[in-house]
Amino acid sequence: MRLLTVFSLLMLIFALPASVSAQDFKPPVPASRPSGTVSPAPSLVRPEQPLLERGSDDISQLWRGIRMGRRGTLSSKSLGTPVLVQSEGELWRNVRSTLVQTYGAYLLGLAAAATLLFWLLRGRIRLKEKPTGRLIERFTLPERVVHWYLAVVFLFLGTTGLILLFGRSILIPVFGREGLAVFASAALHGHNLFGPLFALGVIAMLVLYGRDNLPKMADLKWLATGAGLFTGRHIPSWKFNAGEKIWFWIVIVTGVAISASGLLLDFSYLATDLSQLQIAHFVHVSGALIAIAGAIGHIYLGSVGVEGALDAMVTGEVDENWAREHHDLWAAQSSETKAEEPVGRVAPAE
Amino acid sequence: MSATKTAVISNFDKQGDLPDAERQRNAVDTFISEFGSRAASYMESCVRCGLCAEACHFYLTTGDEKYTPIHKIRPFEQAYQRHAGPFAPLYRFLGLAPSVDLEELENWEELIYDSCTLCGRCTLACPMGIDIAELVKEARHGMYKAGLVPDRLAHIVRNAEVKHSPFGEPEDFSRRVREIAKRFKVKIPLDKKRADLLLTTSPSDLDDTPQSVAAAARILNHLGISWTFSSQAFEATNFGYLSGNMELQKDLTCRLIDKAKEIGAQTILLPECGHAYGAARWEAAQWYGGPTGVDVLHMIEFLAANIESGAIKLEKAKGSATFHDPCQLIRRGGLERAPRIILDALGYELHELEDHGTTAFCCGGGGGVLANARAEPLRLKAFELKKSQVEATKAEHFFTSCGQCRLQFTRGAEHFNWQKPIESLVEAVNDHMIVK
Amino acid sequence: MIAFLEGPAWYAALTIFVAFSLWRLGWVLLMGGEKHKSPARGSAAAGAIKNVLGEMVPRRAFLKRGKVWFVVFAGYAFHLGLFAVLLFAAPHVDFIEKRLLGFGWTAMPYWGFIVAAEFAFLGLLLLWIRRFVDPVTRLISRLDDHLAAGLTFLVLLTGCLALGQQSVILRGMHMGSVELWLIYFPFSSLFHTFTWPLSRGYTGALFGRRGIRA
Repeated sequence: MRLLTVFSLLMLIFALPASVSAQDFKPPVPASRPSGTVSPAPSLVRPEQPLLERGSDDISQLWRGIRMGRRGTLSSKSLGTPVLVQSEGELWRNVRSTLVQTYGAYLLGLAAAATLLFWLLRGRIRLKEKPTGRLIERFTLPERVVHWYLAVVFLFLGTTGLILLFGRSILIPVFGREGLAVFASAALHGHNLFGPLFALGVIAMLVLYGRDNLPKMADLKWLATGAGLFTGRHIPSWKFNAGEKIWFWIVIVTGVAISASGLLLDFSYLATDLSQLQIAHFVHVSGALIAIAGAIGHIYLGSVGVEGALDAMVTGEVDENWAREHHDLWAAQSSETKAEEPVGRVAPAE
Repeated sequence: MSATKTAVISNFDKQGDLPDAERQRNAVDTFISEFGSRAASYMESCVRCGLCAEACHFYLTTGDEKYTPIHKIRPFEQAYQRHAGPFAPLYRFLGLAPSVDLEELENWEELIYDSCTLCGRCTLACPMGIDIAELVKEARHGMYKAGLVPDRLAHIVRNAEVKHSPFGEPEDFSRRVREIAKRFKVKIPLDKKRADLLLTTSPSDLDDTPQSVAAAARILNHLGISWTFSSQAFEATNFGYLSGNMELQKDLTCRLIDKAKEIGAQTILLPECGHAYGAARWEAAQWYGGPTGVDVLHMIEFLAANIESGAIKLEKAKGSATFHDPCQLIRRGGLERAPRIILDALGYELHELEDHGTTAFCCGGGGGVLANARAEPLRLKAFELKKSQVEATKAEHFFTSCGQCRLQFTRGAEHFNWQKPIESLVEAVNDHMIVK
Repeated sequence: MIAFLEGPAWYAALTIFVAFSLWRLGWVLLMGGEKHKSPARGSAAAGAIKNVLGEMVPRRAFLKRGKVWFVVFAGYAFHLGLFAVLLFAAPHVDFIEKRLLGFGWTAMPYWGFIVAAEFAFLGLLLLWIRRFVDPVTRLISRLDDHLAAGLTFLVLLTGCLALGQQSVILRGMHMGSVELWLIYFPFSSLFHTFTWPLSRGYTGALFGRRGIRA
């Protein structure tokens, strides 16, 4: 809960100044243009003067126009957007190398610190009673495969992404500029290639886990009582408690944002204006940093933080007592459906 | 049912009083002797994809991964890697191919005997075409030599070794044949010196369903064929084939062939039995040591041929029917058309089981599993699967043409109080045969 | 270092790959066969060919199981993607022409390579992950299976990381991982590449001989 509040605050701090400054420098755009070039949105169209008046050789005027982001015509569509110099790129570059890197680092550091603190104060969440030895299926094979698929791809993309974001600051001092070039080249190609795999994973995740993560009444109670995290009191919950649901929807929302922006960045020739790519990059990085921060907490809880959690996602099965202690409403419902299974049917594809 | 990789402590039976070291050595030596190019290419092809499990009725009805077919032959494959494979010395040297110890063989007895009917469905599912059923059958050779066979099966095998048939001695057989002839008022030639066809039968036919013996006799008489039973060579089932007792398998097969040759019979006719066909039709030459010179026919292919030629004419029966395809006859035997020719000629409206023909599900009782008291829970699970498929067809009649399948369905029906009798094709043909 | 990897190490790896593959294949082929067979009902050869070339998807009865679909999809995605990348990626075609065969062929366009690589990674990741979490494969898998998947993944990954074709280090890593893969190949389950026609052929021959309509 605490993590969540902090993240949202950071996002606001993070996003606000950047969004404000991004609006200052919309380039003036010519109203009419020859066919074959890109058309701007109508509101940005302003009456335009040619870059150079006929007969003039005022180079400074030419360059002023170019510097203001004037659009020209391209000899070939595959050259990109018809803008030679885009000045707000400088703003974007500053935002990226100062705000984003700084706040991003703070965010990740905070996430790590919060997780550590949680572990120090609360320790490992263990089962109160002894396991019965009887197991219930919690995650089917498809659910587990999709989860680990997304996890592996996310870890790879996160690592390569962080190299791309922080590489210059962190790796040059260690490996030098040539060293960074190797990391950066590898990271870039790996990152671009694995991106679409991540998008597929997010969709699969939504399809398989979406229904069990829809909000229910029990979630309000769970949130109100602070998840019983520090009181040790038993709070009823369905298959996923409110905390897990919040994390799920963070994954989906950031996942969709990262995927959509990432796909645009991967296939950048689809962009009609460089600012689209800059915005996409900003969305991409913000979403990714939030996801990585959340993942730090998620990985802790899912591995050592909660006893039995890792087993659940590897073998798919949990002890009856674990189910009752952590997700009693789901446990009760599970045993009902199991009793109703017809005889003579084959076991599910496990 | 979470998977563990540690040794499974399971029940096992042991026969004989060989010292442990000798048991282990016998098993491994026998395993190694099985590996020719065919078995070796199977050993070299498995990529552990696990698709074989998706075909096996024992895995599907229990969800227990230890019944994964390729897992059943692990000690067999281990012996290959350690002793017979292309890099065996290298693997031994590097400690990469552990030896097969006795404890492992004991743990595996349950997997090799209780949870495999040699049905071959896994063979069809394997993307690499590995004939897993055949490998299990070959592994049984080594298990037999180690004296690690389920007790009741071993008992039946001993009976067969001593008396030639688990049914009994030649005198018992002669007496039973005379009883059947009298009871069903049919002529049954016995021990003729010369005949064109040697009829064989099975203990379950003689004991539980004598009417099928009578039916076979009546049909042969009607066809005017010169045939006989032999009290010295009547046993069609081959418990050597099922248990892994190679000497017994050879002995039983040769006995039939030698007798046929002795009386000048060109044909040996097998009863409605499954593995009898596998043993006598498809493996005879291997154990005989060369071409046998005698044709072996299964009852249903014999009936189908005579129906198609018009030699047998049938009154039309009424109603709908479904058919259970015995694995050794259809999936492993190639006789898919025969029962359908017969049912069609009988006039039944055929409602095929959801899984029929070469991909039909095994009844769960073959391959020695019926004779294995310890395997009853597994057997009944497989039965339930077939039961639900039969019920889904809503067919009035339920046919099969294998004695073991028939016994499995009968026992299963008793256990679950299922009011569906299992019927035999030879009996149906006899009942509807037009005899002028 | 790169000279070593592209020189002696390459030749050594290739030699080990060829020599031990031939040994393993030869061993299996020359192990002897069954002496006597009962009279056939049909053609063993026809059955063998049908089983080797014909059965490229599971038989219909097995396609009722979701897991079978999963393995078929992921398996083909991986294999087809891998072959496309291996044989038609421009740097590979170049390599084959210059260092192996002396002739090449038309390479895929870059986008084709990307699509193929995506499928290859997708299939491999899905299958490798499943190997860990499916009780069936967790029971029967051995270290060899994980090494095979891991090395193949490493080869694919280092190849993609070196896509910029700017870094000698990255190219060296790819070359090195390929050489490790080649050396490991004849001793592992990767060898199914050459044995699958054999095992399918033998079983197909049985089907053909027995007249089994498989």
